[in-house]
Order: sequence, then C-alpha cells, then structure tokens
Amino acid sequence: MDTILSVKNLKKTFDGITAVDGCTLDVEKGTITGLIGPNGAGKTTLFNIITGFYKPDSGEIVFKNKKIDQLPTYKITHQGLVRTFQITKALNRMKVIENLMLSPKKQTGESLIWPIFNPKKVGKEEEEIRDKAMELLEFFDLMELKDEYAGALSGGQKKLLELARALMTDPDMILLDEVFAGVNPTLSNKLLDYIKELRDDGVTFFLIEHDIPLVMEACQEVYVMSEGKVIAKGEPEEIKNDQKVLDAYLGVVHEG
Amino acid sequence: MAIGISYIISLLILFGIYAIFALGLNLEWGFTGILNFGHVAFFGIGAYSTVILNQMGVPIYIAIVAGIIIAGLFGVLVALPAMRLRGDYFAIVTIGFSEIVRYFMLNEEWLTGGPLGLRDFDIPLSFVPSQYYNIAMLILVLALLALTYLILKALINSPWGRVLKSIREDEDVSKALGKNVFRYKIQSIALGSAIAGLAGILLAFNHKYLNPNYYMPLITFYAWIIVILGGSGNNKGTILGALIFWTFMSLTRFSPGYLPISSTDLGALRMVIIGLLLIVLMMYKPEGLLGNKEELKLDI
Ligand SMILES: Nc1ncnc2c1ncn2[C@@H]1O[C@H](COP(=O)(O)OP(=O)(O)OP(=O)(O)O)[C@@H](O)[C@H]1O
Ligand SMILES: [Mg+2]
Repeated sequence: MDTILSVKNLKKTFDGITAVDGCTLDVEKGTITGLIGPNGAGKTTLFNIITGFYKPDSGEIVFKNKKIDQLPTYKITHQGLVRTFQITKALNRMKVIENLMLSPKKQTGESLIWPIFNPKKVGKEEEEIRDKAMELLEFFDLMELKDEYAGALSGGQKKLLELARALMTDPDMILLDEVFAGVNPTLSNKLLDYIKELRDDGVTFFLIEHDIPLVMEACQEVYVMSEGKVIAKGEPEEIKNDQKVLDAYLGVVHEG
Repeated sequence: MAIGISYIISLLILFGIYAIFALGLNLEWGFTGILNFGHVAFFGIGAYSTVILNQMGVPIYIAIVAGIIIAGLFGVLVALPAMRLRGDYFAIVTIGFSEIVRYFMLNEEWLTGGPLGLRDFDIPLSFVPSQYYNIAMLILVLALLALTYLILKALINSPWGRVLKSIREDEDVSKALGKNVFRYKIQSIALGSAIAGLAGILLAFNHKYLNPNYYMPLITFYAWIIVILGGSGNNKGTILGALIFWTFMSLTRFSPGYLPISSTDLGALRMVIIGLLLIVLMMYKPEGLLGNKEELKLDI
C-alpha cells in the first residue's frame, strides 16, 4: 500500500514542556488509522503541527510525496489534508448552512471582484455548493437546523457540523480529533458507517479517539502515543494486549 | 421657519458622508472583526490626495478616483506589517498612524498647506447654480451612499463576505478550511479605507476647504458610535445610526441660545450625553438598534 502521510522525528517544545518528542509514523492511503494515548500524550499537538497551526522545532512531514512542514495551514488544506478541532469551533454567528458553504476550495465568489462583475457565475456555483451542503445536512440529521445560528447547536451537533464542514472541502485525508465524543451511539454508528464508505472511496482517515471499542471496530491500524512519542503500533488486537500500552494508560513509568 | 430647508439639507449631507465613512468601519469591524481605531486617517488621506492632485492639475473626477485608491493603498500599507499583531495591538498601531497622518498634514506645509489647510480646488457639480448647489450635493452624497451600500451588500452576501464573517467568528476555522486569512483581512482594510477616503473627499467638497483639525481621533470614534448604535455587522443599522447621530449633533449644536452654557462646555456635554446614551443602549439593547438579538446571545 501507499503511504499518504509520513511524519519523521517530529519535535515540539512549549517553554519547557516537550509536547511532541521525536514522533515518527506513517499513515497508509485509504485506511482508517487510529491514534490513541493518555491525556496530554501530545496527540492534538501532533495534529496541530501536521496541519500547520504550529511549526515543528525539528522533523519532517510529507503528505502525498510533498514536504508540507513549512506550509501555512490554508495551503495544506489545499493539498487535500483537513482537520477537525477537539474543542469544537462552530462559526457561531453564521447559519449552519453558511458554515458548510464556506468550505469548498477555489470558489469564484471568494474574490473581491467576481461577486460584483460576474454575479451569474457566482450564483450558479453557489447553487451547486448549496446542493452539496444539503446532502451532508440531510445525512447528519441537521437539515432542520440549516437556518439556525451554529452557536445555537448542542455540543454533539457542533461535532457533526465540524465533520460535515471538513468533508465539504473534498479532502484526500481527514484528521479527526475526538469527533465521536459527545455524539449519541446511534449517530456514532451511522457516522462510522459513513466514514467507512468514504474510506472505500479512497479517503484516508487518521483519528484520535479515547473510545477503545470504537477504535477496535473502525481502524485497521492503531498508533499509541505517550509523552510525545509513538510507543506502539499495530492492529487493534495486538495493541490491546501490549504491555507498554497498558502501562502508559495506567501511568507506569518506564526506566531508561 | 428660517432654518428650515437649507438647514435640513446640510444636516442630511453630513449624515450621508458619515454614513459612508461608518460603512467602511463596519466592513472592518462588523464583518471581519478588525479593530481599527485609526479610520479617520483614511478619511483625511482621501481628501488631501484628491485636493493636492487637483491643485497639481489633475482633472477633479480623476483626482477623486485616485484619492479613493490612495486611501485604500494606505490601508494596505498599515495593515501589511501590523496585521500580524494581536487585535488590541493592531488597534493601537492604527490610532498612532492616524495621529502621524494628522501631524504630517500640520507640518508639511509645502504639500498640505500646514495648519492653514488647503482651499481653491475644483468642486464637482460646479455647473449647478449656486442656490441649488447644496441640494445637488445632497443628491450626489445620497447616490454615493446608496452605491456604497449596494456594493457592500453584494459583497457581504457573496462567498467573499462569508469568508470575512468566518474570520470574525474564528480565524482558525477559516485557515483550517483553506482560506488565506491574511489576504482577506488586507482586502477588508483596503476596501474599508477606500470607502473612508470617498467620505473624506465628499466632506472636502462640502466644506470647500481642508484643514488638519478635521481629522482628530475623535472622528474615528464618531464612526464607532454610529456602528455600535446601529448594531455592528448590520449596514442598515449603520445608516440609521448615522442619521440619529447627526440629528443629535445638530440639535445640540443649536442650543447655545437657549442654554446658559458656553459652546466649549456644550461640546463636552454633548459627548457626555452620547456616552451615557450608549451605556443605556448597551444595557437594554446591547445588539444595537438594528442588530440581531439572536446573534448576540451566542457570544455568551
Ligand atoms: N499551545 C501550547 N502551549 C503550551 N503547552 C501546550 C500547548 N499545546 C499543548 N501543550 C501541552 O502539550 C502537552 C500535550 O498536549 P496535547 O493537547 O497534545 O495532548 P493530547 O494527547 O491531545 O491530550 P488529550 O487526550 O487530553 O486531548 C500537554 O502537556 C499540553 O499542556
Ligand atoms: Mg487532544
């Protein structure tokens, strides 16, 4: 299989705290790969670095055979790599539908000129974008809320909105930071089915998740992080029985 | 009534000019979330550029367009280095810039006429007989206000405006969704400043005279009062805010005869009253007159 994302020796220190400490991992194209680890292991920080929110102190990130570790976030998204946020960031004072319609790349109407000089073309594109947004709203059970302000949604609904918004960018790979947390089990299952469907269409998922049974069910491969390092990698069943992993979760300190 | 029509016309001209001026600020603050405390700089830059160019021989209509563009370019010039700062620091840089501009006008006499200002420049509509001049000016101002409003409306409702609003809400989301936030902020400032420039040019025509004193930081805060009064992020509200603000300003300007108070005291008193009215407004209708109450609840 092809590697779509490759992280080598990544390091990031925040005044004294080494959040990511020489992290190395590969994500295969067309898989759902998991990332687990205790609180504070550096998982979110890793996502922040991969998506350009932080510059790494050292190390290298390659996405689709292109070095991306020096690119600004928006350019990384244009490469087809998009993320969601652990702490949801709804665009509160925008309608739910507007939240989704924001996402698509290279919209003609995003320039200062075309909305004035070619409103027809912009309008037509808006129709298409709206249709696509409606499909996702329908799927995520958010249709009735489409004209509500995003700030009025519940925590779980905001999670769904984030995922839908990320999908609207038409990505090759999505980094999901605890997207299932706070979503009810029925919808969670439906979501997972949808993710698998997208995976079968070739989209790659890399997901941080604390719900181990869910990780077992969803992922072909799982990485375990602790104290900024990858301490284990393998199929879910192997990981579950790995002593180092159990120790990390129980807070056992390793010597040397 | 002796004061009747001509008084109302001159009031409406000022209303129109300040409505345009405040629409520029509302684009930056109300839709993009940029804290600009130096908006008056671009008001002045537009006016001085047009007048200076005209005095150098550039036909007035071309000088107007140039003045608008120059004001927009200065917006870019300030924003390029300063936009990387956090919002509050950016605000301080802009207020500093507006004072630098005013001191430049005061001191560089060779270009700006210094404290005496500039007069003797061409004025559009000069073919109109003088008894109708004010009404023609009013029509011009209101037409440009309508044009500014309509262009902004088309932009705000377009994908471009959607990106600006997302930046106002949370620029990390805009970035994560592939938007070049820095570029949009620069565009917002450029357009907001160009609009301020247009307003400044109109004010110069109205006074037929330019003077650095017209560009005190207080004028920036007139625009802030107008935007907050009407409800930030609402262009209709901004226009209504400008109308109320100038009605209030003119009514209180008239009173010296009736009140036992000097005109300087009156000027200060007006600001005190406006401050108090704003506080009351914020207590009972914090979203502004036309602001959306639903939106405001979401901030908490
Ligand atoms: N911007 C920052 N400034 C300072 N310290 C930070 C910053 N971001 C993360 N950290 C620190 O880095 C460490 C790793 O945090 P991170 O959020 O990546 O953990 P995590 O694995 O996502 O944990 P959780 O499962 O609780 O979400 C923590 O000690 C955290 O306090
Ligand atoms: Mg985290």
